[in-house]
Amino acid sequence: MDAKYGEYMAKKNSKQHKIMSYIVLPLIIGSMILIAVYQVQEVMDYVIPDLTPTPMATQESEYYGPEIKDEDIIEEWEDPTQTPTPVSN
Amino acid sequence: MFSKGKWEKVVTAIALATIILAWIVGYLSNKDEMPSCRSVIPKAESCEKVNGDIYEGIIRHEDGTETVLGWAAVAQAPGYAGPVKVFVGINPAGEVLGLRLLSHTETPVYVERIKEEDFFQEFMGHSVKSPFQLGEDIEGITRATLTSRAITGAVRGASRKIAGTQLGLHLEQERKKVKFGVPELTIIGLYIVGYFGHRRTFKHKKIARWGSMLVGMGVLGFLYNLPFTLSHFNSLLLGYFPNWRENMYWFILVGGIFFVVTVDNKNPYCQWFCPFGATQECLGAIGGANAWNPGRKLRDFLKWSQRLLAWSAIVLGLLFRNPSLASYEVFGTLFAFQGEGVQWVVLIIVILLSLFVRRPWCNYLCPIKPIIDVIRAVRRWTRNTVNIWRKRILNSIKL
Repeated sequence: MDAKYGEYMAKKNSKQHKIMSYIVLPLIIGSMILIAVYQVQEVMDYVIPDLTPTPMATQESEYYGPEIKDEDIIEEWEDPTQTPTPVSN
Repeated sequence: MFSKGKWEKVVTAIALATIILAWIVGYLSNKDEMPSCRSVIPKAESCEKVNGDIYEGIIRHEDGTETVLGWAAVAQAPGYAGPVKVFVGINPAGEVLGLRLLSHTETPVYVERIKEEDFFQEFMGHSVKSPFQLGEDIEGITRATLTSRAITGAVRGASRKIAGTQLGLHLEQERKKVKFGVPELTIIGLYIVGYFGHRRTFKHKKIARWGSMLVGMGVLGFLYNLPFTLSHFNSLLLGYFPNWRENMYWFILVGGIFFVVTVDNKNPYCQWFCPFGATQECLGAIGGANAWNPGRKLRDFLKWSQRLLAWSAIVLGLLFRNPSLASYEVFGTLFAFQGEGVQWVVLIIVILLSLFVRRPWCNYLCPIKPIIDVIRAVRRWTRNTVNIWRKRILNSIKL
């Protein structure tokens, strides 16, 4: 009885294992391929940032600051000999 | 020609040699280009180097006179994955006029987050005398705190530089407080539990292990999103160390893992409190996951594929001197809900697999496992070589 049950279980496990392999293996290899593609994409974005609409944020070149018009600058420091006003300590 | 063991040694030696080569090539070829100061002092017609690495932006008038529009300086501060470099423009009134993020090696999603939240605009108009401290005059970005802190530190550095040399202000250097809180206490506690729990004589191993896994998942994962990643390892190789006072956790985590693996040949992190490993085990407990045995040949193929992915991520990180460049972990995708399309797909696959197979990420995809394997192999070979030489020397002395 025990031997038969053991045989039955071994068969069942082997069948389950085979089914598992059919599902698990493609998913793992698929993930590996996806990761490799992701790595290539990341490097391409880094080397040629304009390839994608949202370039990787390294080697930034955007300016963050207020928009400054010509008039603002000329009016603010009108006197060309003016030395910068030191900020009081 | 070679036995399997010898092949492994040869391939590992080639892998290590290419990693060293990538480091050298990366070091020699990655020199930052200096942008014009006009990029942070708009309307400046020309830039002149005035004091060390400080640039003066000037405008020339028709009568030949000049007006100084401001000064620009570069400064950097250690981020979580390497230096963050900014270029800051200050006007003669001592206010921040513009800034530019020159380079960084932070995880891109965090910088994207910072940009989306208009973090850089916070600095505009700030006086050079401002403290430039997160939580005081600058508000950090949630879930990108370390990157915001690094940018703030770099802006502060550049502002102080200009204040001291161009504006005649001698501002006190800020003393950074040592940051020691919940993550630091947790990781120390987990190391202690892991150290004693590993011992054969320890009776309550199962409870201790599940306890530390759940704490690791909750605190280091979902609460703080601070797991060990490949970029930590690359940062270490590149010599990018964050400020120890503000990032003590980094040193405890990285130092602890390498110390224990090298000295004790144990890996408490992966099996005992890696947040992602713990998540997989929890899912496995729900789904009744078992260990999957793909057979010897297939197992070897998967093992070497996993190593190849880790090797390529290290080589690319060193080549471009950017620790997180090709880092592909999906930890941030799970714990911070941040990631790109591919990462989401991989995460979903891993979650589904975890229900049926024990720790699929750790066993077949994680880049940390190959690193630990290599450290252990090098440790083993070194010990063997030392023992052989010791015996030879002792024999020659006896003769």
